[in-house]
Amino acid sequence: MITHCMLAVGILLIWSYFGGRAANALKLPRVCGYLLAGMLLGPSFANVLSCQLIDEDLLIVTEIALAIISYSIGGSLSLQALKRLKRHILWITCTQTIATFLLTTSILAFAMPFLTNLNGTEHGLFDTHFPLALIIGAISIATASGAILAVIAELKASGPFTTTLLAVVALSYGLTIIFFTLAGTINQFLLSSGTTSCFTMLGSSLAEIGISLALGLVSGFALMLMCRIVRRREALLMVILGALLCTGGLAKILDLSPLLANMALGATIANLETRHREYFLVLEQIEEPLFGLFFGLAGAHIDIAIFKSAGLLTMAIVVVRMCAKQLGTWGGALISQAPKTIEKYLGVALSPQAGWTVGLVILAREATILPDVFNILLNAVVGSVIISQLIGLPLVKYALIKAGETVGQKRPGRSATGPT
Amino acid sequence: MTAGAQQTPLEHKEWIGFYLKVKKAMRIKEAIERIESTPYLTVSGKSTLEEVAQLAAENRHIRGIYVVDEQGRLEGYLSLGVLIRSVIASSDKPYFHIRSLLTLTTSEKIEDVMEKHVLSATREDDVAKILDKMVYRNIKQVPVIDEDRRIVASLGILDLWGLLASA
Repeated sequence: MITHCMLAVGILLIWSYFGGRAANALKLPRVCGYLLAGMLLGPSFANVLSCQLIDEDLLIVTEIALAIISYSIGGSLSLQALKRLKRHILWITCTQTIATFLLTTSILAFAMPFLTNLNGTEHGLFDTHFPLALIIGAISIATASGAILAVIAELKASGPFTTTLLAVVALSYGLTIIFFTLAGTINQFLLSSGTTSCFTMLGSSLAEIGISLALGLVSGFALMLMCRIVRRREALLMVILGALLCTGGLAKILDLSPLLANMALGATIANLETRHREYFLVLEQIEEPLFGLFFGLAGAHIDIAIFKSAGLLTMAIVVVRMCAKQLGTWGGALISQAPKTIEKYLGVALSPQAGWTVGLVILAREATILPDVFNILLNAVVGSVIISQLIGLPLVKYALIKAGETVGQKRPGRSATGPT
Repeated sequence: MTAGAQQTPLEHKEWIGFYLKVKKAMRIKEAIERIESTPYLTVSGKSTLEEVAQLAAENRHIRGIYVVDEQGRLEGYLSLGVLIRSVIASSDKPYFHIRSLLTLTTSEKIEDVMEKHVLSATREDDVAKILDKMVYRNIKQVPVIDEDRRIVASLGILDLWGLLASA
């Protein structure tokens, strides 16, 4: 067993790379390959990586990767682009987000005792089941962009359906971070010993979100100011990474959301800095190895015994999430009078669950208290990500073909489809 | 230099100039006379992505697309990669980063995706300095503009390098 950090990181990087290549060869998303590669090195299989390494020593890798992901998500929130969004995209985004969060949370909270072994007297609705369901509900919002883009590229799809799908996916990432922060604050109140009114709870949640956003905004201005004197590209990477870690660290010290603060930082740069592309491109150079490590570590958390016992919960997450997505999309499409193909098939195309949300579960460890509860949650979510991506790919393909937007089918011109 | 180019760093270093041991400074106006302008297109920011994609497909020899206003003044630059990525599914592989997903899927016109922070040169600029900036920002060609920001030529990085090497 390896206990040395540097050696473990090296092995995990190389092993994850080959895992990703193998997944690509099998026409599976690279994320699945990274997760499975990590799983093989974890305590449950080859036992190459120690629990101490996975749970504590390398936690910083997950935190840095999530800081970069949040920053990139913030970078996607250009006000110019948001203004160009069509009405039906906004409606569908809102309804599918709310439906996914509310339905997944409520159904799983009440079904949890039947799906897991968390049904003793020490596991009540408000101290175990509801907090777990809240986290699952929040992370279920995000849809895997990589898997969907791969299918779109394979089928060379384009048209109103494809545009709507990609825009909804892009917006789902930012909303996931907001809802995850909300879920985390509610959990803190549920798991604290004192009694708190709903208004206090909601007020505190909104205050945490607001102050986190303000911290990101201030950090963004500070970063732009610092970068005025930065000359070399490598130095730009140094300063941006430093700003991300400072913002994240400060947010943690102040009991705020590091993810939301870094997302606001990214959004500030994207909207106010003229050289904004450089600010993101420099970080993208180091993303792949970091994400390989991040997903590899998440995979190493998989415990095969718990994985089996969390099987029902895993399946429930996949099924409930898919139904909620379909229902939410259908509602939003009806309200906004979107084209019939969007109403019928968009929910199906939103099936693949985003892999990076596994990192959110690892961050949520403090909110779930008991290690066995955390392990069940993590294994169920990793399982649901893998299953949803495996069954999601054919479903996305089916939806695109049914929408009539693949090559060889009748394709409306893009100028008629793009938002104005 | 124009306002856009003033923000570009490395002025203190000029490592290419140092490497080539250039004794005599050479101005861009001399370069224009000695090397051929790289082929480029000028388009309006109001043009649609499809129109420009079509235009680029018909002019495959072009190396850059410059965006100009109604008076022909330089407004921005559009890389061919961004153009291809913006026209969804016209490329064989999914190159989208989540950061650019929303912008690319909602953009219709060239002004939505063009690079506004363009590196440009004037006739009086020093070739070595411009080359340094091109290397730093990974730019393959630079537009030469007059006092009214109208494009007079487009110079390629290899042409400029070769010119300095032979100086």
